[in-house]
Amino acid sequence: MATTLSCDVLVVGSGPSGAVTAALLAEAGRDVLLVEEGPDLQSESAANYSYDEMDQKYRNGGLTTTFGKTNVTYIEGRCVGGASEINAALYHRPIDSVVDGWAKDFRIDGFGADHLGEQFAAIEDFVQCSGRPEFAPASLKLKQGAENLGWKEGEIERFWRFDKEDGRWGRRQSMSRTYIPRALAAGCRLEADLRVRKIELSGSRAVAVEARRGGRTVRIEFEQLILCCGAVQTPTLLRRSGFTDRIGDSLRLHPMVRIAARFDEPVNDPTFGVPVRQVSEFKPELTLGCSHSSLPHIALWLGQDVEDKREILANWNKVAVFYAAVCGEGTGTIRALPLIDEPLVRYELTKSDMGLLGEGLVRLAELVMAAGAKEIFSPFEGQAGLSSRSEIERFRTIPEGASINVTTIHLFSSCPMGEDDRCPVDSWGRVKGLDNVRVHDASLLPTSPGVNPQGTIMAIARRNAAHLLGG
Amino acid sequence: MIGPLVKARLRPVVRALLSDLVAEEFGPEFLDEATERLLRRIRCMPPHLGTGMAMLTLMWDYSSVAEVGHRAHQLAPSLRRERFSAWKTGPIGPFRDWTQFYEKMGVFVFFSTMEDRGHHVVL
Repeated sequence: MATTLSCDVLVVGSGPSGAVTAALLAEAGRDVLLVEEGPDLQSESAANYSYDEMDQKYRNGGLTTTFGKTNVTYIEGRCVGGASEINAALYHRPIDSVVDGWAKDFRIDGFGADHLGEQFAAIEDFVQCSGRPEFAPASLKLKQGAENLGWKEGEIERFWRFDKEDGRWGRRQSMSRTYIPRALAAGCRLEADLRVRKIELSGSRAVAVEARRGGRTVRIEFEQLILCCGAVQTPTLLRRSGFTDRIGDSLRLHPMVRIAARFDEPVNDPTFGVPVRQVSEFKPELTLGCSHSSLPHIALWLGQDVEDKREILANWNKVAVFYAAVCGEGTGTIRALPLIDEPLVRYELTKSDMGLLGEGLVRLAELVMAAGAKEIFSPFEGQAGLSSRSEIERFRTIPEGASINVTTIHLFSSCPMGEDDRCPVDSWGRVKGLDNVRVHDASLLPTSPGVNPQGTIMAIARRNAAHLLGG
Repeated sequence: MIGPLVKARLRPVVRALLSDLVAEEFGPEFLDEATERLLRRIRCMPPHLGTGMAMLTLMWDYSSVAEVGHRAHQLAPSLRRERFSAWKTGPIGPFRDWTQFYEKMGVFVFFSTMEDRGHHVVL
């Protein structure tokens, strides 16, 4: 027999949008139940970007991929706190013109850069995003390269604190350390390790969800349902529940490519964590930055065809990994599959996306060469790396028969909000055709925000929660 | 989706692939642990990917039986590498993707294991 739980507001998913939503509603006196599919772990339960972290906190151990001509490997958090527990925690406000463009193009009521300003201010005030007191060597290389080329670059604030007692690594200001404790202090209940599989509908109202914990079924009844499962799982849940109208039809993402570069001097110091500077010269279409560069990551991005691999890996602190992320114009679809929980995600990079990725590789190569790199390892399997500027253009096009690894951690736009016909969700996140189901997560973003999206997602969740409360 | 029986069949193949790609050169002593970790990764994959990965691994292993009378993991490393390379450079997309998985994830898991045990690559 199924266990039954009940609440006024059920929030599904405890990542940035779910945590913010739960905290605001609980503080307003609502009876909130926050449900998370993954485990409730300490932030320090595994080192960032390690095998153990993938095991504990990533959906499917980090091995999920879109289907299409070029597969894109994507990562989703699956633990209390969601993506905020595993990402680089880079914090941006979005570009004002992008936000105002969404309001106009997708006819979003009560929305725009001005409207979101107070939400961002409240988040910044509470979470205390901050810059680093000192920079990782790879960050300084990026700065040096950009200065030599005359490109704009700068430090990106993070959801991070650098108090004296936290040391050089600092302290991640993830949801499990910020909004979730705040929600719990206001009376919100948290249920971890509980996967919501299906929504029960009665006419135009959702009345309950069916969830599973281990082999047991849990039924949860509510007055209001808020989906914060992310841009892949939210549309999957809606579609599996029989609600398919325009849901999961317009997935977008930030495709990312990487190169590893070798310098004469050490550029890699794992005690710094993620290097946090970015080149903004080509934003919003193209962003360049540094990646986490531990030994396993360097080995991963070197590729198999490097001849003197032992020497390189023995001197891995002289190698760093750099990325180029682009605002893709391609779109994808998300479809629930029968019998299994995971959806089928299709995504096609357009010719223009491939061109931008090639442009990104060329710009990255120019940047690291200008910073003094002696060798850049090819991002294409089977192709030699390069050691002089005259060869850089080789990176612009994928050679015939070669492949490239494209990854992303930024997925959005699978249920865009607005009054426009393309939008399955209204201006405040309400699923059109359902009276009491809202979406508050990355699915809502109409297109790419042009920056790391966590801050934007939290601000929109906060705005929509305030609307639900009548504010 | 991948039960104990399939896992048992996969183990020697995954071990042989890891040995050829990275362990033989960088640390045979980490091979067993890295093999178990990589098997765990395959089991963690979404069923429609993990099942495909397991099937392709077994297909590659058995593909040599008709030709040389032995499964690929039982062959000499040089012959195994040739067969791996044939899939890597061949015309069939899923076969190429399969080789990429072992070249990327296998290498990542191996060096993660090595790092977790406090070891580094030495000249």
